[in-house]
Order: sequence, then C-alpha cells, then structure tokens
Amino acid sequence: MSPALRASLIGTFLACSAVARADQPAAKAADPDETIVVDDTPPSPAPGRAATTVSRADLDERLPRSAPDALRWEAGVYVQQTAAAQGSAFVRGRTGQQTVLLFDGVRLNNSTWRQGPNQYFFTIDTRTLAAIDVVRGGASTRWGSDAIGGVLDAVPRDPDPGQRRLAPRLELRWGSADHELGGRAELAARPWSGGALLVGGGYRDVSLLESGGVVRGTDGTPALVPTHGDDGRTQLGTGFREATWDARLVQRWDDVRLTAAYYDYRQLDAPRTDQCPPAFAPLDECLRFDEQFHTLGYAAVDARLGAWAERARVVVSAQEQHERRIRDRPRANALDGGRDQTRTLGVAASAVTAATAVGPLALHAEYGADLYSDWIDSVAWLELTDIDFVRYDSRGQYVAGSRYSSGGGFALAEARWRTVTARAGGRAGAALADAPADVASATTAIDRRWLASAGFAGLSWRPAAAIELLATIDHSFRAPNLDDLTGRQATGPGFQFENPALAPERANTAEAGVRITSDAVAAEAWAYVSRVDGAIARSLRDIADCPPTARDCQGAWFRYQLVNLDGAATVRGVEAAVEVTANALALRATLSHARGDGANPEQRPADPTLPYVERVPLSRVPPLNGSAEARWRAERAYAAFGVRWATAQERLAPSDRGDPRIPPGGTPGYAVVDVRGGVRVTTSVRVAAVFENLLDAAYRYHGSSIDGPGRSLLVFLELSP
Amino acid sequence: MRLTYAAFAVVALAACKQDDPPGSPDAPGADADLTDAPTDGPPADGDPACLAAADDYTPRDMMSATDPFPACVSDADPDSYVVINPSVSTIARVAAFEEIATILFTGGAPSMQAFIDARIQYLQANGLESRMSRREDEHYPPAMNGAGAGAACNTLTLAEQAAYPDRCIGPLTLVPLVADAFTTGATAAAPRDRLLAAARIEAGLVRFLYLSVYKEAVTCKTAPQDCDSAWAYYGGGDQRSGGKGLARYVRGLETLTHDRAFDGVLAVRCWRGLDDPGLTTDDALFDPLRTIALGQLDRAALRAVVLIVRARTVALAAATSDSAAGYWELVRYLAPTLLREAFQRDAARAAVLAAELARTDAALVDEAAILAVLDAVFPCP
Repeated sequence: MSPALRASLIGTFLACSAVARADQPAAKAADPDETIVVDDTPPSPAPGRAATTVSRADLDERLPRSAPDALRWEAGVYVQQTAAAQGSAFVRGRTGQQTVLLFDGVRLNNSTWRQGPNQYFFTIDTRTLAAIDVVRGGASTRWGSDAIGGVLDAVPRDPDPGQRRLAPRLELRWGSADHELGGRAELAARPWSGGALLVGGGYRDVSLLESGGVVRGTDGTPALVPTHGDDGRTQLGTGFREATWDARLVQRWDDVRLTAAYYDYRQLDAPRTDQCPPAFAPLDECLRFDEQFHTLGYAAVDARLGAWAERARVVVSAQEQHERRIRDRPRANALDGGRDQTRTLGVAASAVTAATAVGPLALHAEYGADLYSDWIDSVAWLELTDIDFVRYDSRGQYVAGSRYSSGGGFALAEARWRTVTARAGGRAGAALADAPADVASATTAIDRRWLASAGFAGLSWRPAAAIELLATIDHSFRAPNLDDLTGRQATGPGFQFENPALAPERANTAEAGVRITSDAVAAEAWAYVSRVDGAIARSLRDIADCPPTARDCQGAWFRYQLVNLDGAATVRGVEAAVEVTANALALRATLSHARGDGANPEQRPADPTLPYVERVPLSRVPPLNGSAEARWRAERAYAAFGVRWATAQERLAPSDRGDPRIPPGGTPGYAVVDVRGGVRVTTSVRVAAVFENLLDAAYRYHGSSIDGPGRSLLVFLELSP
Repeated sequence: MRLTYAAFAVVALAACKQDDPPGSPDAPGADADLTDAPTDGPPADGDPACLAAADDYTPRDMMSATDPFPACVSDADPDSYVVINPSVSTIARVAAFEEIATILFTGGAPSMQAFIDARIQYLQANGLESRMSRREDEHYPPAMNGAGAGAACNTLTLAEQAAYPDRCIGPLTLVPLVADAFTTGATAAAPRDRLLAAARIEAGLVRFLYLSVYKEAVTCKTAPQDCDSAWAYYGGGDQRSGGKGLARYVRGLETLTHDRAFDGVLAVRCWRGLDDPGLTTDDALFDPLRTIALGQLDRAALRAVVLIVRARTVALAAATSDSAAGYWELVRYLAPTLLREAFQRDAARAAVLAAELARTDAALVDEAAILAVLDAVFPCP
C-alpha cells in the first residue's frame, strides 16, 4: 500500500520498521471522530524522538559509496572512515559499541565489536535498501544494550515486480576518484499467488582513492596517515573489492506475511588505510582485511492476531561475521594473520496493540522480547613465507570458544489526551559472557552476568497543528562485550589488552525539541545532554601491566586497557534541520554540534607539580558541522547542489593525540560542494551523476584515516527493461 | 543444537572463505656443537690513559662538579638513569634481543628450529624488525624525496633509498641481511652455513643497537622520551651495575668503556633535563651541551662496537676452520659501521681495515693488521 498513511494524532507507534513499510497498514483511530491526516511522508521511525529517514530517493540521488556514506547529510550524524572500505557513523558524538545497528529490525551488533569506530555498517549493500532510519539518543528500552548514542536501521527493499511476473533490473556505476566500477543485477518476480521474490547480486572493484591533496593539521603539519603517492593526491592503502548477493521472498496470506531473506556481503583485499603502511613503517608494509564477510539469514512472520497483537512480528535470524586479517611485511618475509568469526543466533518477538480508548485517553502499547547469542572462533598465526612455516599463537584476538548472550523483555505505552501525548517504557534483561582461560597467554577465564534495565518517559504537546514540542528522558545501558573483556589488539601504534572486570555503562539522556510541520516547511531542532556513568574508555598502562607473554604489548608505543571511568562522560549538543519546499524546489539545511568530555581516564600523578586535569575531551567527538542543499525535482529529472561543511576540531582526547589518524593539532575545517543531477530517459533507462567536491578541497572527516575524494565524477546507469 | 548447525550451514553456504594455513611441525633438532672457544674473554679495566674529554659530562667525578654541565637531573646518582616516561617500550625489544642471543649466539651452530624460534622473537609486533626497518644512521644527512625535501627513508621506495645507502641503512642493508640469514639458518643442512647465518644475524642486530643508541639520543631533541630509548637500547633498561644488549657485551669486555657509555647516556639525559622544552626554547644556550653529550655518547658506543670486533678478531686467530668463519662473518658484517669514523680519524689506516673487511675467506684475513688499526684509530672510549 503506497503511499503509506500516517495518523498524526494517533501516530504510528510501531518503532523502527518492525513491519516492512510496503505492507504497513493504516493505524486505527481510537475515536471515530478523530481527524485523520494523510500525507506522503513515511512514518517516524521513533515517534516522539529525534529521528530522520534517508529514503530510497535520497540514495538514488546522492549515490553514496556505502551505507555509512549515505548518512552524511543527516543532522546529528557524522561519518568517520578508518579506511576506504570502512565507515562508522557517530550519532550524537558516539559510535561503534555505543550505537545499535539493525537490518530490518534484526540486531547486527555482536560481542566482538570494538571500542571506537568500526566497519560493520559498511557491510550493508545500499542497493538492497529502501531506506535508512536514524534514531538519535538513547533507545535501549526498545533495542537493548548499546543503544546509547542512537540506532541506525537499514530497511530493505521488498520485491516489487509491478504488474509483471518478472522484472529484471541492471545498474552500473563508475567513479573517477577511485576508479570504482561495479553494478548490480536483480530480478523481481511474482512466481505464485501472494508471493514475491527479489534476487540479486552485485560487484564492485574500487582502486586507490584520489583526494584533493594532503590534509594538514591545524598546526600546519601534514597528517601522518594516509601515505600519498607521488602526485600528493592518491592515497595508498585504499581500494577494495566487494561482492554481494541476496534473496528475499515475501509471502502473504490475508493477515499474515512471511519474509525469508538472505543477505551476503563479501569484501576482499581491503587495506586498513592507517596501517597500509603504518606511520613510520616501510611503504610496502600493509594490514589488509583479506576477507570481511557478513552473512545474514532470517525469517520473519508478521501477523494480525487481535487487539492485543494488532501487529505482531517474530523474527529468527542467523548471522556470521567473518574477518581475516593479514599484515604483510614483505621485507621480513612475514605475514601476521588473524581470523575472527562471530556466529549469532537471534530471536525477537514484538507486538503492537490496537489503539484503545479509555475515557478521554487514547492508548496503545508495544511489547516484546529478544535474545541474541554469539559463538566466537578466533585464531592468530605468524607465517614465514620464505620457508613455508606457520606457527599459531595460543589465542587469537579473542579466545576461541567464548560465548555471549544478551536479551530481555520490554514494554512501551503511549497515551494521548487532546494535544498532549505521553510515552513511557521499560526493559528488563540480562547479558552473559563466558570465555575459557588460555594459560599460555595468561588469559583468565570469564564468567560474568549482568542484569540490564532501561526505561524512558516522554511528553509531547501540540500547541498548534503545525508545532510540536517534545521532551524525553531516557535510561539506556551497554553491557561490556567480549572485545572489552577478552580482546587483545593493536590500536595504531598502540596496543590494547583486556579487562575482565569491567562493569556496564549506564546512560541517561535528556532531550527537548521542537518540530514544525506544514505544507511548505518541515523543521526540527533538538538540544540534549547524554551522560554515561561508568563509561568504558582507554586508559594508558605501563609495561608492567601488560599480560606477561604479550611482547607486542610491551613493545608498543602506547599501552591501553579499558576501564570504567570514575566520573561521568557527557555529551551535550544541539541539532537542527529545516526543509522548505515550494513546488519542485526544495531547500534543506542541517546543523549539528556536540561537545563531549569525561573524567580523565588517567590517575592523578603522585608528583603534584605535574599537570593534570580532572576532565578531558571525549575521543573523536565531531566538530560543529552541517549541510545545505538546494534541489529541484520534477517527474522525470532532478538537479541538486549541496554543501557539506565542518569547522576544525581541536578538542582532542589524550588518546587522540597519539592517534596518527588525527592530524597534529587537530583536524582542519572544510566545505565541500557537490552537484547532482539525473534523468529518467525512458521508462526503462535512468541515468544519474554526482560531480563531487567541485572546488577540489583537501578535507577529512575528523578521526578518519582517509581524506575525502577530490574533484571527481560518479556516474550511474539503471536499465529496467 | 542440530537446528543451530543447520542454520549456520545455510548462512555459510557458498562462503568461499580461505582456509587457515596449516600449522608447521618443528624443524629438525640441533646438530653437534661446532664451537671450540668461548666467545669473549674476561673483562679488562681499560687503558688508564684514556681520560675523559675536558668537556665531557662526568657524574662519577664529584657528582659532575668538575665538568661544564650545570647541575642537572643526572647528578644525584651517577649509577642511575632517571626516566622521562615510566614506560619504555624499547626495553621489550632489547629483551627480545637477549632471547635471540640465548638461542642463536652461543658460539656454535644453532639448529634450524632455533632460527625459527629466534625469528619469531625478532618479528614480534613493535619488535626489533619493526624498528630495524625504519632505522636511519643519523650520522649522515637525511635522504631527499622527489621534491628535493628531506624525507624519512620509510617514505621512499627501495629504489629511492638506494641513493642514500648510508642513511637508509636499516631498510636497505640491515633488514635484508638479517632476513636472508634467518632464511638460510632455517633451511641450511650444513652446520657451518647455520653458524655463519647466526653470525650475520648477530652482526646485524648489534649494529642496529649501536645505531639506535645514537639515533634516539639525536631525536630526543624533539621527542624527549627518545632519551629513554637511547638508554634502553644501550643497556636494556638496566642501570650501570647491570646491562643487557650492547651493554652486556661491553661490560664483558672493558669496564671503562661501559662506564663511559653509561656516562654518555646520563649526559644526554642531563642536557634534556636542562633544555626542557616545557621551560625554555633557548637553543643557543643548550645546543652546545647537546653536541657535547651526543659526541660523548657516540664515542663510547662506537668504542663498544670496536671492542666486540676486536674480541672476535682475536678469537679468530685461535679458532678452528668453522669457528673462525663464524667469527669472521660477524666481524666483516659489523665492523663496516666503524669505517665512517675511521676514515675521518685516519684515512690510511681506515683503508687497511676496509680492505681486510672485503675478504670473504677467514683464512686470508690479516688479524694483526685489523687489531693494529683498531687500537690505533679507536684507542679510547
């Protein structure tokens, strides 16, 4: 059913695509006299919260290089890249373990996700997506552990062959900055009554990325990474290959919908830019992800089961995250290898009640439960290539045989009275971590249990039809995962080792916003404070603290151990977005500012004459940034002009100062201009292009190893005969 | 559980992952020991005529009261180095050197497996190989990149480095030398070949330690914690009474040189404490002190290399064929690091040394000529 209906007063309480959009039913009115407002905009992924959606149309026009790249124009989101084949979205100044990533509501976070940015949202093929929902702010009540900064939900496309039985589609794409060449072929089919199928596969070959030039720190010194080619623009340690395939079957029977889906992402030969070569190492030394695979299979049943489960959904999922790393040291005839495999089984059930009138109140609720369990396999080896010799370490980055489970039950309710809507919810759950000991590496066994609770309460008021004032307080949490508790890994020139005694992070967020919605204007502004108690952060350690057998720890420039901070880690910020539409023209702008600081993770030195501060900036918090777009959209064509900008970021955490990804003194500001256009030439041919970085700026998103593409062209062709 | 496996089987369908490489069994065991003499003799006190230079830092002499250095952090205890940063990662690399020495530098022909075990120590992350591959000889001018600007060797290709063989000695000379020797040692059936391979590894690593002491002392100008590394590359983090790595060799050979080298380390630390970048940037005031300290340290460290070369040359004369070859292998790969200074001090004698070092056959070496050059050109630390 399209366009979707939204009942603005009753709201679509269903959070984050629990039911696929194409099949979204109209919400029932509690009161037959209630005014129903119908519009074309998709429902909010989180009613009452700061949330936006990147639509398929946005993806088609912006031609992002990856799922994280698709988020660069969203308020409150800032995308860091440690490599050309990686990307990690900072939501309200937090990323990685402190955000939750979903695919069609299936939780992607697992227990080996590490501190700081990670690459896993990159393993979602944007070509399979209908939208990406972004929820900013704590959301553990609905989505469990980790949802401190926010939630990103990749919403897949459903099969849609239109009126035909078979609908093939081919898309091709080429980019000049990194000589990207790739495409996707897919077939949508309606093989039998009520059934629809979408199968597809894609491939990309991406070469070295050319930037606008060398980025210098705010003190004028060039960044240590990446290493550039002789032209001063081509970035070594970039490029990758990527293959994807997927199949999605949707079967409908009256009030029941069955979805069976399989998504496979395989990234090959993806160097980690800041380690290829590492700062100060020979040019031919390189850490490369030989294999970065993510495989997801799931089956979901959506059904209407009556008033207590007007929309019910049960999802059973199986995932495998597979990484194979090779550090090549050709002059020493040595390869350092590692393979980590995390297999996850998940089951989640949720239901939304029908709206019910109780006196003057209109009520409805959502409730459910979820459980995800991980099994870990991990090995590490040294290969001497000249003599064909391989020696395995006693353990890998993680301890093989480790297990981790987390889950819980939740309930959320919404009550509306006239122009006021109240929302509240709670979750009770637990997390369990088990890891065997490894005597040879002095790794102790882990057997930890945590109870996890979350809750929120919110209020919104519409003083006028077009204006809504909103406020929410939220309590979220993150239980330590196996990476925190058992992981040993290089972190740039440093080394991080485990802390099996970590406690959970507890987060409290207060946010207030205003939303203005009219025919011509959609605007919102938010202010928030997010405080994490017991935040897990890196603390410098002495050599004597290293695990006894970990020589690589002892030899590293910096040694870190994760600790729970004694004081709070707080991010304060504001976000604003406005879109003004007049016929085919639209103007859009966003603004985001976050300022993070936390308790100093280092102990006060015994010598009182040494400098020491109680609080220090949080690591890699984005600078003031924003975007502006002007867009013309007609039935068959569009054109757009956009600017992305950020000011310099010189507020650096102590660990940032030793991070070669951050230029000396801090990351400079930038403004990047893009021009986009596209036309549907015939019903079966569509072309699109992005002229990127028109002014050829040398720029870097704060915390990244790579610099943004220089002046370049992206071209896209779609054939759908 | 069966359902679990079935689910994973579906997920893993067509995964096409690479297999993990199979682990290797250990190499064959040790052969008969070829050694017939101890490596080095008992330590000597050193020539009492070798006095410290007039402007040297002399903490053991009235707590530095008689030298031109102002009072500084090193004065209080002439037997102890005061670290700038309590965590000195270089200590781990010298510890790896010591483990390699235990495995390979026994004077005999190590087994093939010993080379593999030692190599694993050498290849540790952030270990010896990682630093050797970037080590530059700071005695020479920096290399230049294509734009004519000074550039670190690690930012140049091998072909570009080749234009600066002296400066880019780590990546260009030492890494290939050691890598090739490890390969040979792990594969050579003949004990003699393994003995020579071990000697080349020892020469490469000792040369690396010597170069590192000076390099870290030089770069301590801009990175104060590098002074700690200079101290650690000399003695593995031990104080005067101890000593690993280069200091272990020197203490076993000549007490005077060890003490002077440790004085040199303290001299550099003394200058760094006075020229604290947090307190002053007056280069005109402190650069002369730095020059003195660097010279004092380098003179003693170079003498340390001389002592090792000298001891092996002496042993060479009394050794049997295979052992002699082992001693000579170390000398001819380690002693070239002396030539730069030797040519500056006495070009004629340096030419004699260079000619001898060009010989590949130990039987043709004129040990007396080498010893004469060493004693004449490098008489004192």
